[in-house]
Amino acid sequence: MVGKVALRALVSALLLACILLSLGTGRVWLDPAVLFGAIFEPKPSLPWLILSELRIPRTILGLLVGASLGLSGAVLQGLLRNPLAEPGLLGVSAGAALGAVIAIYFGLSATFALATPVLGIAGAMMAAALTLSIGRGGTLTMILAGAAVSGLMGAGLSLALNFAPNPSAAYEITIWLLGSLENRDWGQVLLVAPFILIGWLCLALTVRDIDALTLGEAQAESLGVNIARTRWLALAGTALAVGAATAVTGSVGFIGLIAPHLVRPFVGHQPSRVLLPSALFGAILLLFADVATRVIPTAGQEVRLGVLTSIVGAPFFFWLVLKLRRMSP
Amino acid sequence: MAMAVTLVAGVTVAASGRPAQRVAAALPAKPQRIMSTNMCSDLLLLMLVPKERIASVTYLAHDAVEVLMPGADDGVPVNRGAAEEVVQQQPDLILASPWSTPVMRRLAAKVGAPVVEIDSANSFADIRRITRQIGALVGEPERAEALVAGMDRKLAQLERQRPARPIEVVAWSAGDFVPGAGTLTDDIIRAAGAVNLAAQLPDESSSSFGIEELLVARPDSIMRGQTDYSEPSLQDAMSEHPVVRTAFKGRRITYPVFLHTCGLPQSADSAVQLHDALAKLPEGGVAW
Amino acid sequence: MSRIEAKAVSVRRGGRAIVDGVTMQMESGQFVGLIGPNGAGKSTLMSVLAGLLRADAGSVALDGVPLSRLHRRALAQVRAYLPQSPRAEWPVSVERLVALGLTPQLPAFGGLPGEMQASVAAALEMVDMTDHHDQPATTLSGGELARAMLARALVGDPAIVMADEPLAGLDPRHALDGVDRLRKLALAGKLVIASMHELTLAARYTTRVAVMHEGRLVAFGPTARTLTSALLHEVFEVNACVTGAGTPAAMVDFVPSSSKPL
Repeated sequence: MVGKVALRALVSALLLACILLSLGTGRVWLDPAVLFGAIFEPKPSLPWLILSELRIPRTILGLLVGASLGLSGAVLQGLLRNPLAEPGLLGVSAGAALGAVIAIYFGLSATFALATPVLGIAGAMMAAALTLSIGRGGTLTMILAGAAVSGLMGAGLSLALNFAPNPSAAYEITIWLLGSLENRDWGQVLLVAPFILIGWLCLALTVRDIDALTLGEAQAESLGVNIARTRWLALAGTALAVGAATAVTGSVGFIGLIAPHLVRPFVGHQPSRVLLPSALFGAILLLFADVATRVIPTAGQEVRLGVLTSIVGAPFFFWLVLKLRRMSP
Repeated sequence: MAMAVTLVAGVTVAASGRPAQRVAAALPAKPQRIMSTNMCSDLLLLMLVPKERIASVTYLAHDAVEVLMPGADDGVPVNRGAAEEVVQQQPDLILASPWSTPVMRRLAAKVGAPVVEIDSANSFADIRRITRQIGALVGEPERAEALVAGMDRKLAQLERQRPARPIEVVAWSAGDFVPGAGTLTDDIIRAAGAVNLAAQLPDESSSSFGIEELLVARPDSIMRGQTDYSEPSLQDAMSEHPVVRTAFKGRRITYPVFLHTCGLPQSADSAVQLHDALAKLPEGGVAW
Repeated sequence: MSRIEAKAVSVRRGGRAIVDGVTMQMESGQFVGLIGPNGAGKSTLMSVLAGLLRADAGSVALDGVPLSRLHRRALAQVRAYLPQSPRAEWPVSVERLVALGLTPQLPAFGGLPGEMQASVAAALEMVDMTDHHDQPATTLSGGELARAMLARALVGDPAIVMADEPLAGLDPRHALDGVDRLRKLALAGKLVIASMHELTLAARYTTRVAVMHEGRLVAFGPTARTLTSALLHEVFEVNACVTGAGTPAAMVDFVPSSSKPL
């Protein structure tokens, strides 16, 4: 295993690089000299405006969302002892998307700014509760329940599209669902940050429990773990963090699946050691993908964030399944 | 009868400057049951022909009618562009959009109704042509001329009132698509005496004109399309970015989108509104 | 000195009594072998005694305190439990696996404190697994995994050790090894309860034996007196020959009953 200090330095450097890339990439080149000058002589200037009002909020959201996805994926994988678990698999992401679409669709978000993240979280919690209650009795059942709940939420989304009041509304919903961080502002950051941070807290509180689950549920219980509480904390944390994140970005998938797998070769398989690195790597992956969407040359529209993560994530999922198939009898 | 048909066909050819649209059946001189499956031709139809001669218009037209000529579609049946409605309503002329389905054309042929595809207008010249085309098709060429004349009068008036220094605008509604050169919006902007910044984009197919580009381009005003479908949409969320809101405070001009997507004689009114709104802009450029 | 008292414990499932009115007292220094045919209710009874399953009737008390009133973590610090066929879900090193046994003593966050590292090393030493301390737990053989799990159970120095079929699937050497360790733990002052099917080993190593049949506790007492051929015949429905029960030379033989068709 790579030395701890070296690893931390590497991840920090990567994260910093991604943050700088995210701040620096865009349609408009920001002259570093002007920015530097603006620090000492704060006066309104175009580069500073673009940086402070557009790029910094976007970067912060990228960090929050990416870390939420990575952390939630690691916790769910630890809880279910299954390397294929992630919030998308358990229907939580689809539920969040449905909640957010309902908020936008029925005009709630126009009148009440908090509506979108709140309904996103509500949708995520509803989906999580459904998965949790139907999926009792083992990992396989829970994953199947998650698939069923995803299907249900997807049906809801299709219904919304079907009855869109006009073609442009349908188009907008579709595009929004593809996921994007573009043109997000400080208001949205401040809106979702509290929910995300509370979600992180819930997820972090499961760290001892999911470690003990390495021994299986019976032994973990005998070690004093309240498994029902752990399940509840993991799903509530996921619903809060991923729900709020989805409410502001649309559906961005696979990061929660990929991040833990990328860090395990370096930190080992013990669930508690995977949590923080997964969060950091999730942030790195998301920022990187977001920068890529700004940079990839396209004829018409820009590639959307969710599309990019799916295109890269799905083959990875395949690879993972094949690897697991080879390992197990 | 044959002469009338030839006349109509001839006018259609002359007006469109291209081979006549393929018609499956003979065009009647003064059709009595006209069905329109194209929202833009709905509106022209309602302006040119009395209600009794209309078989149906699309369900999308109502909102625009409420704005332009309230009550004009009272009692007019509504279609959803479905092919079965063609059989049901037995029209003797169908005004369709350029992407009508083959099924509809087949059924129309069976019913004996000629289908004419009406283009979308990208300029005032197009509006003149299309208005005259529809006027000829429905047998009301004089009324069509009257509408065109009214439009030309307004445009001439605007020409006389051209401002000294052209104002820079951009019709920036959804960030992904900005009407550039060759669109009706562009024509309207020019008629109003302004300069469309989007028309100057070096690469016409360049994707988004996002907030960053907007701030760099610094137009004197941005135009925001107002659909009369007052359902909320993300468009509101988009333009509400605090940066844009503060930078362009008092410099946002709304325009009715349907007058830009549908080329109508009333599109000149949009140019007039724009001209008047631009005159009220605060002095100087946008400041941070 | 720890004492477990079960009073009229019953567990019902679907109308049937899986455990039916079991009453027993056990205390430190005893190695209790829980035996009985398949489906007799041994695992269920162990779960109840361990505090993991709530009985439908009756109660279990640890040093006079009902288990239901004990906090999970407090109970976990005095009582270790090993289920049937324990396995590791992730390929963590043996050292980390054993360290998980200290979970009840650990704070909510943070790594393993230095003092506890010594306990882990000692536990590994006790089961002879020091050489394997870095090996991924999923690559261990059956015997090695059994020892590692035992180390996990012992690392927190619990007063009570409960194991459900700890010798299952072990070859003779590892089985002898395992049951010998359990007896030594009991002699050192712990209360050890283990269910097993290996009757000869039970006859040799346990100090007390509890025999279950169809949910009921049909016999409970010192091995030498309780483990008799007649009892085995009644409970297992085979002819058994028990010699030297309770001594290191004990033997339990089974012969199919000639009156029953094969």
